[in-house]
Amino acid sequence: MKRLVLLLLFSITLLMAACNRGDHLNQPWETPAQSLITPSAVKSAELANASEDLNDDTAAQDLLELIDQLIQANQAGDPFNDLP
Amino acid sequence: MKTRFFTKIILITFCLTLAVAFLPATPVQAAGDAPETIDTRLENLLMREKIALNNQANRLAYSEQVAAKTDTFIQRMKDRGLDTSELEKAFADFKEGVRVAREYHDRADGILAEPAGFDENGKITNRKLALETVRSAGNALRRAHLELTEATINLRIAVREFIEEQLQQENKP
Repeated sequence: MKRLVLLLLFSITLLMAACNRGDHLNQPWETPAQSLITPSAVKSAELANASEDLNDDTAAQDLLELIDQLIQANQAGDPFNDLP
Repeated sequence: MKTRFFTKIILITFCLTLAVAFLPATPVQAAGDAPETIDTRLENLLMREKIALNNQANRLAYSEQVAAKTDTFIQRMKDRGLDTSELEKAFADFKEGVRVAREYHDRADGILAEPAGFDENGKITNRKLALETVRSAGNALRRAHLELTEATINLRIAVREFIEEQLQQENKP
């Protein structure tokens, strides 16, 4: 039984290691034809919670959502901090 | 005795795997690749800048939609008889930010349309010129990126403040 648990833990750790490697194979660049409506993985907590405390005025909500999408797209953009 | 030995082996392997799993991964280089030369780096940078230019053009086009929607929103609020002066000021700043961003973007576009120091396939023909091309286009893209990002964040803050202010006014007894 003890061996079985250890083997299980070992397998899970191997899987975690494999996933960790895979993440870093992605290019650090922007990808072509980036979608503007796909939420960026980089989203600040401020932005995530911003809309919740506002009223249910749909025009205001629509505008804020549109601006948020542009902010997220900008955040995903290449800032060129590593120019030669 | 044999069981304990086996357990120890498993535990040691487990700890080692765990340590490897959390080590920062280094970029993978295929076996046999030659070290990256300056020319290759510059060629890669040119490709990267062209991709960024294309994506930035999409964002600038999107900012026009944001401007149109903000304009409609301000009109609606005005029609309701609300004071939109602060919002209008922020909107003017946003449009100015987008205009400046577009200027830098167009500059980068001009440089990357016929990149000096590179041939039509993006291969280096003159290293010194190519370096200057990559630097100047990258700087223009960077300035455009910063202008657009700042302008958009400031507009969001202004819209949010306007809505919160109106909510406070509505909730006043």
